Amino acid sequence: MFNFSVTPMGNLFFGLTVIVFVSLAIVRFASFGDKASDSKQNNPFLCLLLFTALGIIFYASDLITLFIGWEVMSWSSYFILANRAKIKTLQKYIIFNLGAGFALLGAIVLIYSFTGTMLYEQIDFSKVPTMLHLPISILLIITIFVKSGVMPFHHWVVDSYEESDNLFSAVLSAIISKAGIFLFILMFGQIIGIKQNLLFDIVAWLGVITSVIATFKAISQDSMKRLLAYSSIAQLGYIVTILSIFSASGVEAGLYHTIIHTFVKLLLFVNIASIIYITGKSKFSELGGLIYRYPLLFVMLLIGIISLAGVPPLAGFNSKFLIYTTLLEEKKALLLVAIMFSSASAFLYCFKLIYGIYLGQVVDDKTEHKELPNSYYIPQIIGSIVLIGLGIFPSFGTIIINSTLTTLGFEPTVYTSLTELNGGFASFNGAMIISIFASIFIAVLLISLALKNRLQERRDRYDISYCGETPNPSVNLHYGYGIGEELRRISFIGIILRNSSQASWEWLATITKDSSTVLKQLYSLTVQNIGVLTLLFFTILLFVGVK
Amino acid sequence: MSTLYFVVVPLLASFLTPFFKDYLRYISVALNLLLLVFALSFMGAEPIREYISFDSALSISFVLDSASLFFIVLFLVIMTLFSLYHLQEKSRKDSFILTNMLLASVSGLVLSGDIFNIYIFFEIASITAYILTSLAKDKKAYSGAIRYMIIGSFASIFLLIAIMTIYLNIGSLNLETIAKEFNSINPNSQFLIILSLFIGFGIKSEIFPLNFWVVDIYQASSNRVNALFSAILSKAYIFVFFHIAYILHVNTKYLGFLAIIGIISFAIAELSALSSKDLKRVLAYSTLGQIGVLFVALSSSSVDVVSGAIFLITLHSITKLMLFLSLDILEQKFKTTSIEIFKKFNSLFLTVIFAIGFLSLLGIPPFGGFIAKLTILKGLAGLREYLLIGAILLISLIEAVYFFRLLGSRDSSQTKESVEVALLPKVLLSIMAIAIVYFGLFPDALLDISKSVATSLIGGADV
Repeated sequence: MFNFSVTPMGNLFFGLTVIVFVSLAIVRFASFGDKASDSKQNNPFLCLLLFTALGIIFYASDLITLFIGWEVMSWSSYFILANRAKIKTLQKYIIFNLGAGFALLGAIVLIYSFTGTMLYEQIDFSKVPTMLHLPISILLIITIFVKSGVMPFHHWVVDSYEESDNLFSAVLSAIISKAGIFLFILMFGQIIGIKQNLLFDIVAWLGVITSVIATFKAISQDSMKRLLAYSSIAQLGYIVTILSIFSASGVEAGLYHTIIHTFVKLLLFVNIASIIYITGKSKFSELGGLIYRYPLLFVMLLIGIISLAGVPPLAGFNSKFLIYTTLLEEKKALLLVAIMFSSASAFLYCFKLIYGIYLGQVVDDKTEHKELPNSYYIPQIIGSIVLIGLGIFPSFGTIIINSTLTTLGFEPTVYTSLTELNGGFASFNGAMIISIFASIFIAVLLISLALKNRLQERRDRYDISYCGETPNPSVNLHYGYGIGEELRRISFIGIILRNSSQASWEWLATITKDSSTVLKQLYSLTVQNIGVLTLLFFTILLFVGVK
Repeated sequence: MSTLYFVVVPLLASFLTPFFKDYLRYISVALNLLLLVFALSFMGAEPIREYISFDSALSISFVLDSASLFFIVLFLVIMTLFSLYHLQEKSRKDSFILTNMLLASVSGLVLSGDIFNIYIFFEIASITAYILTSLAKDKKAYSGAIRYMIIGSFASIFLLIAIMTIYLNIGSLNLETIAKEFNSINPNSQFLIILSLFIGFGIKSEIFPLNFWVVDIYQASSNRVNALFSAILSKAYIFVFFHIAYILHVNTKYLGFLAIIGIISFAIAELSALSSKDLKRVLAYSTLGQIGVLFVALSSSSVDVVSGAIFLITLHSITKLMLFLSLDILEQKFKTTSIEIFKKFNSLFLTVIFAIGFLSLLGIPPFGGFIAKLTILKGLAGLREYLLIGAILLISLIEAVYFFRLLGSRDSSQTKESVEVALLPKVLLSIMAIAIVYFGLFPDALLDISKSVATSLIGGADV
């Protein structure tokens, strides 16, 4: 019943899984014996189960094995979440994810009923009548959208990320959301074979709309984990968009962005987890000025957000570059504009992340800080090394992706040197860019050090006055957490931020609940039921008598 | 070697009650094991047909083909586990007689080859069930038992009407003879027979719109009795109903009607369960839901789907026995079955048992229920019944909501009371849980058996 095969794509995704799980396991085991947090620890058995399930998904070679892995992934992460999350969040999580699972099962059963086999290699999708291609594709896309959190199926994502264990949020964002991407490439690349049609145009646009809306939602969040959750939704939106242009460069860009996003989110979530561990606070409004005490964490976060924003010189730029060139190549100008718009807006939340936590004024120096175990640095260091390394040698990522491209039947991308990333009609040299940036950085650093005494004048923070008033220390001059508030006043963005499709889902839930309450009455009115049965009995007697 | 022993031995064993009061629990286990071994000795044999004859039209006949053998083995396995669970109790005078009667009557039901015999066992089973309901000996139990009796009498009356009409039209009560002549009788009488059979068996097998009494009865009876009702009794009625339906070569129009009834039953039961506040009721609703699925699957007259249904029957019996017995342990501790106790108890073992049971009922891999659901869905897809597939998947989602809500409410931070599970129940519950996981991972053997049972059930008339 279980069939497995080792494929380059499986290796790629499972490799990412192993890195994330092992590095987080180190953090977890190193902080063992800490009584305060031990009672709410994630169950190691369940984590192992989740890990196994992911392995099953990535290495399965028939649809049923894939489905088994998929469902085990859903319920094992449900039980891990159940340790901390509220019941409402859990309900959302399980309804969306099991719904996705059942959609997948429906698609699998439909495919099986025509092809008569579950093995990837033997499935001949042309046997399925064309009439059913669309329903099957829609079922699969629902599954993928739910797992990757693409709108309008994203409602479970944010609350689950926020309320889960800090390290488990990293797993959810870095790996579990990627299972959807894996399924996308597997199903539409390998089994079904994508056809450029209206459906995938819609998918591409849903991806972009997701990224735009989620970006603005992210900017206006006060909770650090919610911001990262929305950012995760936005990034997955890019990946879905670029994958739905199913060309060699599209898949390459999508996979590259998958790799980058995994490491970025591993780094960022662990960084946030460290801050929450140290201070016990999770909101921007309660934090600020931590750079003075934790400069190393600040540098890590800086590396993370530069990559997240997708600007040179770090690796985040590589995948963005590929996304832009692919869209240009395919002449999808509108999509390109929308993606650029959302990427540019993403700077705002990236900035909020670093400003709200590390820069600005020290908001609270009364709370005692816990000492951060060194193990928390390990995932961050891994992430930083990869992001810097891929920044210098961008083609290294291409080499990893090329084998997957070959198995999917695409031409592998040509690369001239490790340091040069080839995006079709344009290319750039990562090592050169990094050295330019590094030299500018060093130059600026040297100049400022040299001029330190002349430029700097020691002043007190409150040595200012505005509107004729002199602020005292109780006034918060730090406004990092306020970024995003003013967005509500911009008409177009304000509408996005104020409205949500959540209401329609809640309406559905209410209807179900109400009908449940009504129907339940049926089962407790025994006397009436006996009456109904009596009536039925005499009706039949009458009926027979007439005959 | 007569098939009659399956009925006679448990009944005769009941007479041992006054002589071995203190050893009844051991006798019960030994009896069930003995019968199980006896049943297994028939494995692989040719179908057996036995007559205890006065005259061919009215003769009592027993038929043991692979379908009825399978059900007898299933019932005996459940009964053995059930009696093992009762080893911890000193006195079980009442329930010894009653469970024996129940065993004899359900065995008789599945073995009977003539319709009057079916009626007799139908009545014995019903009477046993009424008394079993009242065993809890409180006000609720007695009123439940009386209500159960009134509803049950309706079922008996309708079954009797069907039998009368059959005898008036055909002049025989033997199922084979009826099968041969059924399609040649007056269509109106045919309709009357089918309708009365549906009402008679529908009430007993707990199908919409005849199942409104069920949940109250489940709440009135004790958990152990519910385990028997859910795992054995309803299954026997469903089997007999479809056995008769297939033997009579009932028009596919009526079978299609049963599928629709099944899906409605599934939907209404799961929706009602959503806002239920009592664990007994939740499990009762879930039983109703599963019976709905069974009706959908069994009425398809395709071997693939029906074999999925047989698989589901097996898994559902084991799962419900496991869940009701676990609930019994909880009720002993907390004296109530409100869903609030699910937040209170502290026992990793019971949590895992409940999780496995619920996930298997939902048909989520890697548990046995998944294979059953997959087989049914695959079969339905082969028949191009896409609407049914969609409905089953959608309603399963509603089912998932309340089961996962229960499991998710486990880890709220309120104080918990630890529940100690004694060794014997622990071993038994583990065996059932392992069986559920085993059938989920290695389903092939049971699938083959299910297939042969399904073939024999559908092709019953051609044997």
